[in-house]
Amino acid sequence: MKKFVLLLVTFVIALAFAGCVNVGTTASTTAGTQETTTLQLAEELPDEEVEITFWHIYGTDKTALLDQMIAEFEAMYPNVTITDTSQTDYNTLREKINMGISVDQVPTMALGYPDHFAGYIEADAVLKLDDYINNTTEYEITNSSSSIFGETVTIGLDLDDFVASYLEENSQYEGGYYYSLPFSKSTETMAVNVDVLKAHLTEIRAAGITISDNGFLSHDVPLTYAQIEALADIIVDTNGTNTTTSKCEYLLNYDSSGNMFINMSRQWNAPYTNTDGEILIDNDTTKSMLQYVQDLFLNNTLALPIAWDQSYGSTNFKYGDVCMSVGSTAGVNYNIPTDADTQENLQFGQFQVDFVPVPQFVATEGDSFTVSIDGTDSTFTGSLSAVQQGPNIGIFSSASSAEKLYAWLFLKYLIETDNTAKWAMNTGYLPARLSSYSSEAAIDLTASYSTNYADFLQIAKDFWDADGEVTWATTDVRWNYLYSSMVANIAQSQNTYYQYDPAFAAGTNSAGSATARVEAGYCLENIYIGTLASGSSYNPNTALNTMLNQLTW
Amino acid sequence: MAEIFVENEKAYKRRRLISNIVTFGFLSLVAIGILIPFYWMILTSLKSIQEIESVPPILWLNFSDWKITNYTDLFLTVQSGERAGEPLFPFFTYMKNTVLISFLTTLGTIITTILAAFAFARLNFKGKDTLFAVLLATMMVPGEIFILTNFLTINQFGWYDILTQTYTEAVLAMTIPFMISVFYVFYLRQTFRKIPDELYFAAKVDGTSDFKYLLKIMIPIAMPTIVTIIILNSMGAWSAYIWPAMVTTQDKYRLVSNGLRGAFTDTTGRTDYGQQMAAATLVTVPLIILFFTFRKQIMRGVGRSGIKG
Amino acid sequence: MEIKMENLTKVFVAKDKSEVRAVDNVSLTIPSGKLIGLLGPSGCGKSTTLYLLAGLLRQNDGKIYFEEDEVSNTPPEKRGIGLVFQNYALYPHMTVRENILFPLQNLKVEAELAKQKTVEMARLVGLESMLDRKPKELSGGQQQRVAIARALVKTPRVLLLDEPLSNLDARLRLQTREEIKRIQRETQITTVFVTHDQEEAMSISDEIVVMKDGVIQQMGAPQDVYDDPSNLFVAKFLGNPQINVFDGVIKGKKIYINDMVVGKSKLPDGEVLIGIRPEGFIVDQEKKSPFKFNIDLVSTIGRDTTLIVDLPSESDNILDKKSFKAIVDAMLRIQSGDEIHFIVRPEKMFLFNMEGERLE
Ligand SMILES: Nc1ncnc2c1ncn2[C@@H]1O[C@H](COP(=O)(O)OP(=O)(O)OP(=O)(O)O)[C@@H](O)[C@H]1O
Ligand SMILES: [Mg+2]
Repeated sequence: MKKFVLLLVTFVIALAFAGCVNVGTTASTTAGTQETTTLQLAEELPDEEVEITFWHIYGTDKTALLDQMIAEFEAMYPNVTITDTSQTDYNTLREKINMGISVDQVPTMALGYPDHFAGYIEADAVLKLDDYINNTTEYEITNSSSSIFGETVTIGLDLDDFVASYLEENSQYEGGYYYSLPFSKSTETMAVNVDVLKAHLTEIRAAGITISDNGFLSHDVPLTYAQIEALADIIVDTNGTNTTTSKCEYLLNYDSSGNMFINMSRQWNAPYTNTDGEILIDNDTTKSMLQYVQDLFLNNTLALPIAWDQSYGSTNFKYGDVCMSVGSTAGVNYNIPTDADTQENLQFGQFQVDFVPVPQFVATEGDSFTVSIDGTDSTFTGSLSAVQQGPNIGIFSSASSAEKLYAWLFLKYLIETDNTAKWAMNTGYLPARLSSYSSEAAIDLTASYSTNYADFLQIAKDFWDADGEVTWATTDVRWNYLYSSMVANIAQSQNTYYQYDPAFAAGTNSAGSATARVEAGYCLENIYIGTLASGSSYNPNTALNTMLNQLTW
Repeated sequence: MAEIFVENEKAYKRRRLISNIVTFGFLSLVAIGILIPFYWMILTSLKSIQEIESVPPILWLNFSDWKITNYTDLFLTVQSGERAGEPLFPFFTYMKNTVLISFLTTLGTIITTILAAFAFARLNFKGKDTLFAVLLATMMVPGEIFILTNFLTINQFGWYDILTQTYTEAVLAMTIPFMISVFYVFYLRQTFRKIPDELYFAAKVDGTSDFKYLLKIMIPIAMPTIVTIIILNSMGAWSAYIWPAMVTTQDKYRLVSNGLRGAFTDTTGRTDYGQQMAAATLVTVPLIILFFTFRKQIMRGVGRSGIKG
Repeated sequence: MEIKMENLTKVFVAKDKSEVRAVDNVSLTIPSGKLIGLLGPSGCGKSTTLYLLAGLLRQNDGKIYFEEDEVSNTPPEKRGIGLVFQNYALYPHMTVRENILFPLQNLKVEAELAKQKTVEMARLVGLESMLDRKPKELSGGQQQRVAIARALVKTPRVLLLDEPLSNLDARLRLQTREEIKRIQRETQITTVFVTHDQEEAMSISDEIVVMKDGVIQQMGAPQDVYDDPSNLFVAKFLGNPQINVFDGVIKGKKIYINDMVVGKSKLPDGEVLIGIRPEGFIVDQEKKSPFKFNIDLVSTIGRDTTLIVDLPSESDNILDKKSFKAIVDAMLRIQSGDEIHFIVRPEKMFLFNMEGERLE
């Protein structure tokens, strides 16, 4: 018996250690930099059974459309089965792939952010898509059970149709190759309390800002920060929101302080990071910029959601604490006051909301702008910039050549003009392709309402053209899509100057780009908190140094 | 004399009263502190998004304002497409998995813990102390490191194949690496060591084998500790998140914890707290029922002394 | 059943590699059906001897026989012994009934019979009414009886008791002592009773075995050992108050203490240690005896008076002061300060060499 127990114990202990013994199996194949290897594709489209796994993080409720596209694709290529599974969240998804790489357990393709792909590329696990994009091979579909029997499919992809910034983002990796393509994209727009602006028409016009009789600002030309400051003079009441004078306690909320730091750095041409993973924030322009932001904080021109202990400012925008709010296009509807809100909280009632581009410092790229920092004027060269973000899709190189080929075809199918438009409309993301904006593919939004992306965009245009005085019936479905349509239009107007956040994995000297973004957010929050506590005597460089310490070692 | 006695008794009673008020006051505060999160969870689960965001927060909801759909929506099914008929939030699947995983992990843990603790407390073998020291040292290794090594092990055992993983393999992958806990071994060993040698000798004289002694004497005596371990371990398994997500390839193999976190976020990353809390409430209810069912057993153990002597 | 130990030795090796010979070359035969008192100071190896007999410890050397069977290598559960521990070692989570039943279950005794035996045994130790209590709901004496019942229920060939009375108060101790004696007589089981209380051992045992540092000093009927100790250690260990030890000399067949003659001896001249039991002093009413002292302290309890006498000494150091005790008849009405002449009863006086070995 003693022996038996001993044996068991040994087994138990062995188990406890089992985890430690297999570390050596991680085979690392050194990444030989393959120079433009031209891909040799099969003569015929492979007709073997192919199983493709696609990993994402969408919940069951969001995968319906994806399932539909998969079904369509499988009908086109009956020998292909696509299994898409959710891996619960982005961190888990990334970790599973990172670990899976060492044991050859990666999906055929996966959703991911650029910094995820940067990590996979380091492990030499992702497929370089250039070989497919530039491939001229064409296949005729000879399988009679295919839904596209007799048609010809091309392998190559016309990149000209994509938003430039998305292309740059997906080819920012070493060698400038494409390792992923854009899928679910969003940007930031600014929500505006039209009722409040309307109450100050003359003053606003006197400040040289274009505004319609009903209080709508321009939807093509972004406000400049100079104009923001002017609006603050007119609208902000530092004593709190005052409904009789139509003034708000704060002018502008910025939901994502991380985005704000990064985007404003671009607008000021202040170095931030680069794809090599260098942290460049320790420079005079960034310091001036933070000083300027501090001034905006000081006179309530700018606020962060932490002002109300919130993660997003949309609620306080609805409540009237702040009259403008920059937030993600995906969160549009959180800004609209409705019957569902506790009405006493809505200080301006159910006011009209409009969406405009995020503020810029200059009207055109390369212009100079002058800001007053601590009473002295300084001049900088500005850029136009709006944040673009959202996951992309890549294919893993461990798959068989047939799997890779079909995975590529599937990826291409997902980002076809019409599918992109459908995906965008269903999810609230933005189309990755320019042609999607004029797509006429019918999209069933409800059982009884079907539209296409072009018509969808038209909803907001009609509304704006009528200066808000449309004669739609209250039951008109267009009301349901008005605000999504607005931000889609604004996003379109911004897409020429989208900027992406350079992606890099954590390295020997510094943290990864995801951490950098988080720390950038903390930096601004620290300045906000510090300024609230000690006014102008707070030195924003303290926060900058903290950030630098967190990111470099 | 009698007067003084009465005086004293009065003073005594007054002191008793004050001490009671203080004690029960304190306990009530603690109890409220514990109950508030539960109340808040249930309250939130009955609010609409707007009510949740409301500032100042809404502390009480009339029955007519309850948003029951937070609960009913959990049981909605996908209307069309490939997954038609599947629940949006596969509550029962998650629940079944969670119960199974918690049960198996706890069962495994308790078996290995008891055997290992017994060996370290009772048996004599070469290198016992060294081995125990090594085991204890592993407690200092951060858990994250084991994720990688365990992941590789699971893969070697063939339980993590993203194309072919079966339910059994997923269950094995989720449970086996957590069927041993050095801390629990240590904890139980301490309890076992408090059991006097004489009991072992007595049992020997009374004709038991080592194993029977463990079963009939040590385990019953150490029951409070074992119950504690069972509770702690099941709670840990119940709320495990990272590992189950890491080693399962399909949603239907996962646990409530995974479902709770992922399912209710929209495209902006914002969470529908109402629904999430409704689901959380449904998950918590079984735990509460379990606690009240086994309240006596759980409470008892703690005060039981070892042996008189 | 007769128990025989042959050259039994147990050596403990401590962590620092130092050795303790807890049982040293013990050879001993315990006659069948007798109650043996194993007696000795703390740490002398009594428990070790018991555990060796029980098989709970393995001897380094030597053999153990139960009747003709050598059991040296038999595991405890096969030796058929009953053991009662110093602290009873009752199973705290079991009721009295379960405790008593436990050995029977292990022996796979048929359930009905086992139940019946349990009740019988409980009756024997007078605990029928407490069968469903847990050990902690019993008094010390009751627990002790449960321990005995548990040891006896399987009708062991040998009953081993390790200081079973040490936790009891004086009265209970006396009472239980009698009970053990009674039960042993009734069952006729060969019993080894370990104690460090000489009085207890003397009163209960058919024979006593005195042990010191793992070595058996003497074995015999209690009174025999008392009356004829084989060395100073045994002489000192038995008897209360302790035997008085004097430095003496033998000169010309006469025994002297402080130049006073106390008796005769055939031994050659030389220094000796003289042990005189307190009851060995007789007051010489005629004041003829040369062995005389001034009495320093007198205490009378009932029939007996204890006289305490400080022996004269050269040094003034209190620690060097020696005294002796004499127990005499209270009727003599001796008072402190009286000068008393003593006559020593020869049978109560033992001579030892300076190493403590008995002379004669
Ligand atoms: N497990 C052990 N390891 C080392 N030494 C031991 C061990 N058990 C007993 N000893 C030593 O052996 C000697 C005899 O111990 P034992 O327990 O037999 O004494 P005892 O006569 O029963 O004393 P007591 O009357 O105090 O119970 C002691 O010196 C003790 O320190
Ligand atoms: Mg002892």
